[in-house]
Amino acid sequence: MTAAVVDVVDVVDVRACSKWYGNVLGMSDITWSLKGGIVGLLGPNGAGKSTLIKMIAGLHAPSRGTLTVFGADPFIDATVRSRIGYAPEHEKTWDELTARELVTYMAELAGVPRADANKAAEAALAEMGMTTAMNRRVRGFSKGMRQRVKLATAIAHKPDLLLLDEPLTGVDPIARADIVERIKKLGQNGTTIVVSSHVLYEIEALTSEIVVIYRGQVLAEGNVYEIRKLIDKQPHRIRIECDRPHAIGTALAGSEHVARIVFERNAALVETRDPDRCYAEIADAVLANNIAVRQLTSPDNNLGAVFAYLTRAGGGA
Amino acid sequence: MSVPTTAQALSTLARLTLTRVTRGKLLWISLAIAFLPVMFAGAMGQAKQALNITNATMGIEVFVLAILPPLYGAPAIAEEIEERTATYLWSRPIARWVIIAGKLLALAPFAGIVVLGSWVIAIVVSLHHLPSTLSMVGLGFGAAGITVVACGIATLFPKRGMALAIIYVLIIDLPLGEVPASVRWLSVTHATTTLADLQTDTSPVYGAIALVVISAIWLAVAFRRVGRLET
Repeated sequence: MTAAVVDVVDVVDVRACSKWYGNVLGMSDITWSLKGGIVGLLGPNGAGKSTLIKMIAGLHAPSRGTLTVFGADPFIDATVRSRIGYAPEHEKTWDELTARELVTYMAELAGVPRADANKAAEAALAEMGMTTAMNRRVRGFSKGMRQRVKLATAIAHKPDLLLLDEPLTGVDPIARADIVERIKKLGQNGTTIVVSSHVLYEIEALTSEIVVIYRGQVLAEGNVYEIRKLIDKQPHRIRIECDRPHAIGTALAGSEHVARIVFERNAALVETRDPDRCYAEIADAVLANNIAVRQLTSPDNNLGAVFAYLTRAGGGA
Repeated sequence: MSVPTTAQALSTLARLTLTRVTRGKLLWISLAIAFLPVMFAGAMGQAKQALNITNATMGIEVFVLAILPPLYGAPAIAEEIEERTATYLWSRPIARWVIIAGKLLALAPFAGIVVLGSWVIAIVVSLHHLPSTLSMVGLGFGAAGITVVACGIATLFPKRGMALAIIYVLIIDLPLGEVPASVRWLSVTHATTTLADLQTDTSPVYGAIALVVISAIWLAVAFRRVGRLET
């Protein structure tokens, strides 16, 4: 009996890829592969996320190295591009068109037959919650609506790989939660999704698999919680916005894990070496003193903290 | 998912481009410019000298020819790059030359029709008859050719595409066409006026050939250039 040998081609395979824009290095010697699922590209502005996404979308060719999508070069092979849906970072579209027209034209150009393109556009816009606004011109749309239309242009031809460059930028919290759910649904239906962001909690809401990109290089890759554990070994800051910040400070002052407490107007900023214990003690203090908490945030939950930590670690600190 | 055929992509791009043009402010600006010869011819209509009116109106029309087609041709790709909307098109499974070709398929005839309409109305208003067939053919196809030239120039300099295309036609191409030497055949406006039978010393056939060759060269420049552009 002979076993069938099945070649499993990575959805995306990046090998020693670099990209220069003149003298500016956009991406430096990246090697990375993607087999499926939802993956978050994390990095600050200018880190190289958009460059990588554009190269996967076939918009840019690597200056050095090889990049394949479904086993072929997306810059050259149009067939591969028909399997990719791309929503760019910027919100510019053709404002003269209605949402339905825009998505219909884009679907046709992606290979949907003209007779089916209108239905495909309607379905994509419905999937993005834009049914009621689909006959309005894009010119009058809010940022959130533009993001949804952009996503609809990317999914109308039912791509196997969806590339979303900062899809939540400028979107209000309610729309953000809604878009996140819709993207997750696409992922659950089997579409491989690469989503970029410079905000950790946006990515966390979508996936636990992340690739951290910084200065054109892959700095870390894996489960977001593993990376968060690394971060949690560092002093962690918690900002409690409440009516009596000094009461919180008094309750936490005796704890050995608390390194520092800074009082701001209607807020206390606590620096701790044990975040889990600190969160528990804050909850106890709030309940015991009947404190009205308006907001509890961790400034370290932004990506800056991750980069600062990983860069230090990478530098041998 | 299948890849659209070249014909399908050209058709879609032409329809997309026409939809955008007919809804944008560019249409109204170009119609205002196209109306200038009509106003001029109307004022000249009192002179009762047919040849003078025709020649004078053609002078204004050539000026329109230098400005109006670049308004259509230059932004075809340059604006997409500037506004970064090119990313939508370039990420589609179609060759980049098809994108330019599809846009020009809509824009070149559109510019030709606007210039031709301007010429016909101007002559009818002032002389109460249609202009000569060759003048109509020359201006219509000339406008289409200049649209292609402007598109080619704009792909070389996307950031100032429209301005440079207009400057090129007005400052370089028009004077070049007046040079009494064979170098004038590099001028697309000279080719246009020759095809329109306004150059009494040359057959319109030479104008047609020159127009086709110049347009083809700039189209090749645009095709080659767009394949390398990154947004």
